[in-house]
Amino acid sequence: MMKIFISTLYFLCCTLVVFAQPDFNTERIRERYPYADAFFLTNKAAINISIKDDKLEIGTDYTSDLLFLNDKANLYKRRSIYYYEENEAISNLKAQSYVPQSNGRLRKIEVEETFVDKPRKRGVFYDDLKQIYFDYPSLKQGAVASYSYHEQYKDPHFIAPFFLAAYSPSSKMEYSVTFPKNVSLKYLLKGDTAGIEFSKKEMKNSITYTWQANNRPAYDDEDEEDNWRLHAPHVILYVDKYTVNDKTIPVLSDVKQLYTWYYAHISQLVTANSDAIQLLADSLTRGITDEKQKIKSIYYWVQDHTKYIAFEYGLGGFIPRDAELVYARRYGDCKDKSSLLYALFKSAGIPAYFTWIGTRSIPYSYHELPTPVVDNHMIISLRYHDQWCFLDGTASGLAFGYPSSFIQCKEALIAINADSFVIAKVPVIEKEKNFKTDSLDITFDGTTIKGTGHSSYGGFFNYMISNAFSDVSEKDKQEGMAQSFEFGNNKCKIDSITWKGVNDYSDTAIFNYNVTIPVYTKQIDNKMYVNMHLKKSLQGELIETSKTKKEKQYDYKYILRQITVLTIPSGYNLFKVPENSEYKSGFFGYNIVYHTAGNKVWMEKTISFDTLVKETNQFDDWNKMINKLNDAYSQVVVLQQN
Amino acid sequence: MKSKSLTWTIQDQNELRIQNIRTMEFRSLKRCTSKFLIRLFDIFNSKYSAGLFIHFKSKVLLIAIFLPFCAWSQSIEMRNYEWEGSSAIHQLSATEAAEPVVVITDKRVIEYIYNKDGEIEQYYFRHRIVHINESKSVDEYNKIYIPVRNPDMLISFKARSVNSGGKSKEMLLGEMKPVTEKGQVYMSLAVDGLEKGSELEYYYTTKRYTTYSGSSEFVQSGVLTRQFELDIISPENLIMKAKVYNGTCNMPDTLIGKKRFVTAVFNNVAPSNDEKYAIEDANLTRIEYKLSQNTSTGKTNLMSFADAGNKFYQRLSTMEKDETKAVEKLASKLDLKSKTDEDKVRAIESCIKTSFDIRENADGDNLATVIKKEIADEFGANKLCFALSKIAGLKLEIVVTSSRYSRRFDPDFESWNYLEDVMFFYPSINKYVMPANFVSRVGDPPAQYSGCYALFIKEVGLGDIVSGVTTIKKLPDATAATSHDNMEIAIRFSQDMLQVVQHTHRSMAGFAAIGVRPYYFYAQPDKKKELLDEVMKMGVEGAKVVNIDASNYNLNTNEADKDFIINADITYSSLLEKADKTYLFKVGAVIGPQVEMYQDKPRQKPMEINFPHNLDRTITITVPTGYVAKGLDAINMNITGGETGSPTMGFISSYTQSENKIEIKIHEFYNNLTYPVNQYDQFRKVINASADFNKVTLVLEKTL
Repeated sequence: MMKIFISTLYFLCCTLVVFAQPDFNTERIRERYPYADAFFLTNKAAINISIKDDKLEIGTDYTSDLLFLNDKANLYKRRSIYYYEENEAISNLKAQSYVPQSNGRLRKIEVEETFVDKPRKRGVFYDDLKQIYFDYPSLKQGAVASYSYHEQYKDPHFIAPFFLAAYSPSSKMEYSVTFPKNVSLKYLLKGDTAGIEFSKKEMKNSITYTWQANNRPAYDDEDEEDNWRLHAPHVILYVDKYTVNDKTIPVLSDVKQLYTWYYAHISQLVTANSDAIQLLADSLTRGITDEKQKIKSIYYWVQDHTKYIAFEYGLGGFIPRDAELVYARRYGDCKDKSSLLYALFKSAGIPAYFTWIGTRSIPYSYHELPTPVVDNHMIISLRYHDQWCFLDGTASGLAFGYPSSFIQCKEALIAINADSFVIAKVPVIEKEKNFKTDSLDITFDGTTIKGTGHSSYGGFFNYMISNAFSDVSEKDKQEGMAQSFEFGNNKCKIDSITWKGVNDYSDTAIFNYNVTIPVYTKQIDNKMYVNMHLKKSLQGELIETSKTKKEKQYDYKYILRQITVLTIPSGYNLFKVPENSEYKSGFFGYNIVYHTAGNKVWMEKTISFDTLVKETNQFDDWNKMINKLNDAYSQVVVLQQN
Repeated sequence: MKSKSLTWTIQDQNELRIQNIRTMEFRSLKRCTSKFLIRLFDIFNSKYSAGLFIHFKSKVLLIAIFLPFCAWSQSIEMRNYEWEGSSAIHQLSATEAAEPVVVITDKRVIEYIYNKDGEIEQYYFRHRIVHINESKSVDEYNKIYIPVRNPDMLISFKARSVNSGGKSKEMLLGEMKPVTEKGQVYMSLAVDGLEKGSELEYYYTTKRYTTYSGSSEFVQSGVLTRQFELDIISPENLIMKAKVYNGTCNMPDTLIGKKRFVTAVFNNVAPSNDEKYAIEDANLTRIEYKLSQNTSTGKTNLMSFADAGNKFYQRLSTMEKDETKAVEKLASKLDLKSKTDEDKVRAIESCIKTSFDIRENADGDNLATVIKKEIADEFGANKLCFALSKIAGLKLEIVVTSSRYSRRFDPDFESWNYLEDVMFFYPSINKYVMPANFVSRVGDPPAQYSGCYALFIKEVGLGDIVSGVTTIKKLPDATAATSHDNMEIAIRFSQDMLQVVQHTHRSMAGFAAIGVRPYYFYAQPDKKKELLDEVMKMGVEGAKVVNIDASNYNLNTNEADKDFIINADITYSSLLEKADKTYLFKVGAVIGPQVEMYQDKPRQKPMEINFPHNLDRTITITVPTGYVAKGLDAINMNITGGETGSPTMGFISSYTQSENKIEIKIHEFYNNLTYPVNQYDQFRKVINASADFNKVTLVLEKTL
């Protein structure tokens, strides 16, 4: 991942209002929002853009007043401000508690001490992220926690998006920008923008845009994967260009301008030559004539031999490091790994291209927003068989031909040369390639199921299992692999498992194993009951439509196949086989077929899922399918003892 | 502010901690499925060593302890340490080759020296060589974090990676970057060139806060260590005492020139296996050490428990005028005088745990500030509790111990390292209060201290002189009688036989309620139901909670002493299987999925549970009209274990049938906190019995 901006989404964090007399009614707010712990009275960010010494100066003043509605106020005492030290400077931080007194007035208590920390961000080894934090004194029900500060940007390319949304309800949220008339400013308003009021005010030399949201409920992210960039209303500002002394200076006018700025980050790498890299490229491609094999040899070496460590200090978050350095260190982040891949391909005579891309959580296109907010990742693209192929140096174990699942259907900005680029769409891998097939050949002895299993995992399923086992030590692999196949119940024992195609970039991984499942079948009198669905995929995956108001995102399309063949032991006859069952709707469906021959009963099940996004209008269909599937899972084969 | 330079610290453990941070984070995230739980989890864990607050305000006292034999500045033994010039890869034995990682050398030196002013200073040296056998392990070792007081306190550092061809790449101190996390500064380095088959070697020396009252070094870890060596070096007049836990080692005290060396060497230290129902840290091989004598002053038994006890007492009881005033004001608000002892204690505890925010980095020394800001560190919370109790006229003793999960208090080794956590004992009601623990309330000590030894510090006055007198006593053992998680389950079937319709009355008492009740109490109103739903779905796919309510959850009242009750109506669609008109009912699933234990590796550690407890369940099934239930024999189970004749653990289930009702009774019990390794098989059978019950299926056959 490349460095991403700190957006101002008010989780519960967020200047200065003097509460001589409270002009709000806590009780009324409590009634209105019985489930909220806190309520934003104000929540404002005002950006001011000016030109000084022919250069842009951009600063934001943040102010926020948070009212506490219940006795949980204590839980919110500590507040933090995060910023990237290399690009942002924080000043004039003032914070105070307004504590209710018996006379109904609010007493102001200043926050006296602030602390600075250098936190570690998940997945990043070292960057310039800083945290200022402080504790509000004496917070209680009815108290207000306020703060204000100024944030100055050092580079006009980076203006953080502002979210008119918070995890607490709010009275007033406001985002404004004031800029001189010789600055051309553009913006993009995204997310659910209903109720957002925009106004423009023109003064003699400047213009002010204001976005306001009044009386907003708390933003509810329904689950961990909730993509608030899709739903929470937000404004992204960027400077198109500005004019000084009749000279127009472009900043982020269009994709071309963005590209020109980006290209400067890689231009040196494009021209660099290195003996060490040449030697490595030669050793990796020696004796290989087939181009695809050469590509694989280089791509897989980088994936296997460089570890992911990210340094995102200042522009280090944007500029890939020299390939030779990455090679010597054996580590790097996405840009560094791309740099090494680029240099190796170049040395091997294979044209390759630096590529910027945003992961699927970033829902903007380059044309609507020609700014660095659009992407957060770097890969390498190359042409193979007249198609773009996307190579991700950080996706250890991912086979050539597959893009990382999290960039499917995204725009890739491919650097051809200093003057030209291509924006290409990353394909979505079709469901037929991502499959999981489990064939089980079973019989029973008393209540114990015994048999053999043969499973094959294709595409992303193979990548997932390869990935999961890439950090399991050899001595634990056998046991771990066996455990990952357990099914039926938690007494299931998988043994003698063998596999091939795992962690070796194969399209398909194959597994063979023996299986024993004690206490699985049920015999009563002369009847034996056997449920052929040893794996109940999607069981219970109903969507609670009353709670779920947003679409659901999926990593990839897929097909699941389960084939169970039951050999009826001597002494038993087949008494009853369940009915076949199927469901088909737009993007998903399943099919269960039973058939019998001799002393065998077959059950074949196919579940297909052909979309990356399940829209809310598909939820009812989905639930119908799950209910029907659950019913099919409850049907058992009955055998009769002679 | 605290005089940091003289603070008694827990620095020594920090390096170990940083290596575990990832796993700890992972664990805590895994355990808490929803965001608010993570937040609460953080809060409940925002405690740090109570020991931190003991520090010496008086330099005179310090000098008295360390009074040198004769004052001269000594040199640091490891200052000019250099590794061997050759950087060849080490040869591995077959056993070592099978491990993902082998620590070839782990040498640590803790050195006390006198500086030119005759003050004692402490240095910590570590030299490690790590052989990487598998690519996957590179990620664990290619980042080095060294905890330091500040970046200047890293006196020396050097690292190199050596590849399988013997080619080495050196990294120096200047390449390190400082990072701060939760107030702790680390010097960090990303190691170049590390890959499968290569070795990482590094050493460093840091100047630490001088710690002499008790510290520890862990010998054992999750990886195989070929050679471990610890040297504790002190000036000749200072005699250090050390003790090995969970292992054996002869540690002679040798005088070489003007320095004393206590040395411990371990060879081939086996990696600790990850085991179910086992305590990790407290069972690892470790060395505790402390200063015991100063031959220059002739003082023996320095830093004794009695000294610690008096210091705890003095620190907790000493108050400035403004503090006394503020506490008195707060006490009058609480209206303590009119209350019984128990109600006084409860009022004080509720006040501290609901009105005050207890966290690190807060100022806890002055109670006037604490009361004004309503923020305190752990010490502040303890001091406030002590002061309020005194004003309320309550007799109390200060109780200091450590968690049996990290290190079990050893009454025979007077290390202050065991003095981590503080609570108070109120003799008149025979109950304990731990102010810094949000989830506990007046009663028994929290489960992690059950049966542990502890210092009991009592105020004793002699004329005008009041001091803290210490005795060592055992905290009460938790018993199964006080902790249970019982369920009365009534089951019927929907008319169309598509669903199981269940009413559950669940009552949790004692420690068994601690996993739910406090979280329910503190949760935001809209999250409360969600939390209970998850608790009551029992991990069954497709379970739907229709009605649910909870009672006795107010921790600030005596409700906390009563059973936490949850009543819920639940429907299940996945517990019925069918064939024609016959139904298979998976009745066992209603007790929830149970752990299944295997016996594939020899058991290393004794089995230890969080607290002894009983699980009594009654399941009443109404058989639908026109059906008969079969297969009931599978219900009967009787697996017990422990001492012959009087089982200490067991799973016993049986049923009775009358008309259309089947009543199943299950009694599952674990009377002991720990079970010895030789009872592993029995323990496993009892645990697995409940997993067996979870699979019990009944058949409902149409009678006509």
